[in-house]
Amino acid sequence: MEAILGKGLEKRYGKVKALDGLDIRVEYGEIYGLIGPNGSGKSTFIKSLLGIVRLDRGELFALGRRAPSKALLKDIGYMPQEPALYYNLTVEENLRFFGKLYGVPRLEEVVEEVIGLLRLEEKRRELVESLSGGMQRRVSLGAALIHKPKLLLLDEPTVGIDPVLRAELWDYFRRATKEMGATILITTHYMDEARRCDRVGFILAGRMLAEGRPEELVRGVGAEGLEEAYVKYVKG
Amino acid sequence: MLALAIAWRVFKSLRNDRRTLALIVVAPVLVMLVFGFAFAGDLRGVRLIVVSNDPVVNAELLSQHLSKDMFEVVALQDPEAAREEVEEGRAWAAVIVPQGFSLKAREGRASVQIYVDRSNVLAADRISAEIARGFSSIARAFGFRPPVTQNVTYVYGGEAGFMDAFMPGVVSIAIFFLSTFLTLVSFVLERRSQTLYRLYASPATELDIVLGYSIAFSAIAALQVVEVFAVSIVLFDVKVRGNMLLAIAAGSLLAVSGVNLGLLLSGLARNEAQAPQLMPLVTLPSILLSGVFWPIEAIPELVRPLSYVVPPTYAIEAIRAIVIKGWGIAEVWPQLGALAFFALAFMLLGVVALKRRD
Ligand SMILES: Nc1ncnc2c1ncn2[C@@H]1O[C@H](COP(=O)(O)OP(=O)(O)OP(=O)(O)O)[C@@H](O)[C@H]1O
Ligand SMILES: [Mg+2]
Repeated sequence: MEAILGKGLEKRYGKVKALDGLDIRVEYGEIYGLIGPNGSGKSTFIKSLLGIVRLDRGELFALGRRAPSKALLKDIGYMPQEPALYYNLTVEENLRFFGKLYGVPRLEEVVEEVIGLLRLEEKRRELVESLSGGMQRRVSLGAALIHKPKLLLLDEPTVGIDPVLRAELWDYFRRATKEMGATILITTHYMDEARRCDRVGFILAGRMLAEGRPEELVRGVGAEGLEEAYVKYVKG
Repeated sequence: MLALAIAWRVFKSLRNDRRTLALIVVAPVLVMLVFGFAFAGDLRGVRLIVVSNDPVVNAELLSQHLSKDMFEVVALQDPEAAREEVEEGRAWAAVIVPQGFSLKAREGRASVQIYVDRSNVLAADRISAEIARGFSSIARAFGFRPPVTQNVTYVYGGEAGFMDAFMPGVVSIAIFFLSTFLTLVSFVLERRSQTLYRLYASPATELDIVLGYSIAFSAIAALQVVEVFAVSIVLFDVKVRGNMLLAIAAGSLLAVSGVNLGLLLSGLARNEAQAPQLMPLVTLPSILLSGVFWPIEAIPELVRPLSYVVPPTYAIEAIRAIVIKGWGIAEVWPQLGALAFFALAFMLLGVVALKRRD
C-alpha cells in the first residue's frame, strides 16, 4: 500500500492544463521530493489531494483511502506555498486555532513544542502581520505540524528560511519519518534538498517524467549529479 | 464543535483589529443618523403664502393655528401673485381666504382656495393635511359650522410623530445592511489571506465555517440591533408601545438572516473582488421592495411578490406592529417565523456555495 497513489490525474484551469495525466507513487515512511519548474503543476497536485481544487479526471488514493475526502484531512498536515495565516492573531493564537481544528489533545504542551522546534519563542506574542516573511513561513510550517499528521504535504517549506534553521528542519523531517512513521511530500527548487529525499519525482507540464531514488535517476541518464539529471530529464 | 472554534477565532481577530471594532460600534449610529435624517426628517420652514381680505381669519390668525416649526407664513395682498409664487416654486402652498369668509363660515357655506405644489407628493400631502388641521382648529375656536370642520380618529399612531412611522423601516434597513456588509467584508479577508483554503484542507466542514461565522457575526449584529433601537429612542424620540425585547428579537432575527446572506454572497463570489460587487444587487432591491418608503400595497402587482422574498419586509411589519400598535408575539409570530426561515435558508445555501470548487 502506498501513502499516496495517483493515476492519470488531469486538471485544467480554462485552457491551461495544470495536470496532464500525472502518475505519482509515494511510499509509506519516506520523504518524497516533487521537483519541477515553475508552473509544472506541483502545487495543483497538492491542492487536489486536499480537495482544495477538483480534479477533472484520474484516480487518487492517500493513506489507503480514496482522496480527496474530509475524513482523511485530520491525518494530513499542509503547508501552503504562501503562508495562509490569520494576520490579526499572534503566533500562539494561530497555532492554537489550527490545533483546535485538528482536535489536538494537550494543546498547550504541543504549542510549546512547536514554538521550540521553529525557534519562535521570542515572537510568540506578536501579531503575525508584524513578522518578517521568513518568520511567517515558520508559523505556517508550525500550523502544518501541530497535529503530528501521518502525511505531511509541504509546498516549498524552506524558501526564505535561514540555513541554520533549514538544517534543523531537515533533521526534524528525518526524525518525523523515522520515529513517528510519518510520510512527507515536499516540493522544492533546491537540489541539495532533493538529494536528501528518499525518492524524488521530476514533473513537467503536469506529467511525471521520472520517479525514483536520487542515485537511480542520476544513473538512468548517465549524469554526474542530480542537478544535471534534472536538466537532462526536463530538456528531454 | 469546530464552528465554535471558528467563532472564537473571529472574536480573537477582532480584538486585535481596532479599526473594524470601531466600525462595528460607530457604524450603526452613523447609518441611523444618515437614514434617519435623510428619509424621516420633519418638514421645516415651508414657505406658505396667505392672502386674506377677511378681518378675522387673516395671516396672523392662521399662523397661530398652524405648526410654527413647519410653516413660515408670508402675507400677500394679491391672489394672482400668491398663485404665481407657488407656480414658480418660491412657495409650497398658498391659501386665499375670500372676503366675508368668517361670516359665511358661521352659516356653514364658506370655502377657501388653496394652491399646493404637489410635485413632491409626500411633502404636499403633509402640507395639505396641516393646513386642514389649522382650519379645523380655527373653526372650533370660532364656532364655525361644517363643512369646515372635520373629524378624524386615528386607529393607530394617533400620537406618533413622523419618525415613529418611519423608524421600523429605517431600523430594519440599517440592521440588514450592516449585518450583510460586515459579514461579507470580514469573510472576504478569509479569501484574501488564503486561510479559507487552509480551512478547506482542515477537518472543518463548510457547515462549520458558515456556522462559526454566523455565530460570531450574529452576536455582533445583536449588539448593533440594541444600538440602533437606542438611537431611535434617544435621538429620534420614538415611543415604543409594545414589548421592547420582542422588537429587539425581531431585529436580531433579521440580523441573522443578513449575516447568513453576507456569507452566501461571499460563497458565491469567485474571488475576493467579486463579493462586494454583489452587495448592491441584493441590498438595493431589499430596500426598495420592503415597504420602507411606501406601503407594499403601492408596489406594482407584477413585482409585489418579490417584496415577500426579501427579509426586511417581514422585520418592518413585525417591528411596526410591535412599536406602533403594541402587538405581541401572538400576532407577529408569522413574521418572526419567516425571518427564521430566511436565516436558515441562506445558511444552507451558503454551505452549498462554499462547497463549490475550481
Ligand atoms: N487558480 C488558478 N487559475 C488558473 N490557472 C491556475 C490556477 N492555479 C494554477 N494555475 C496554472 O496551473 C499551472 C500549474 O500551476 P502550479 O501552481 O500547480 O505550479 P507549480 O508547479 O506549483 O509552480 P511553482 O513552482 O511556481 O510554485 C500554471 O500554469 C498556473 O498558471
Ligand atoms: Mg507551487
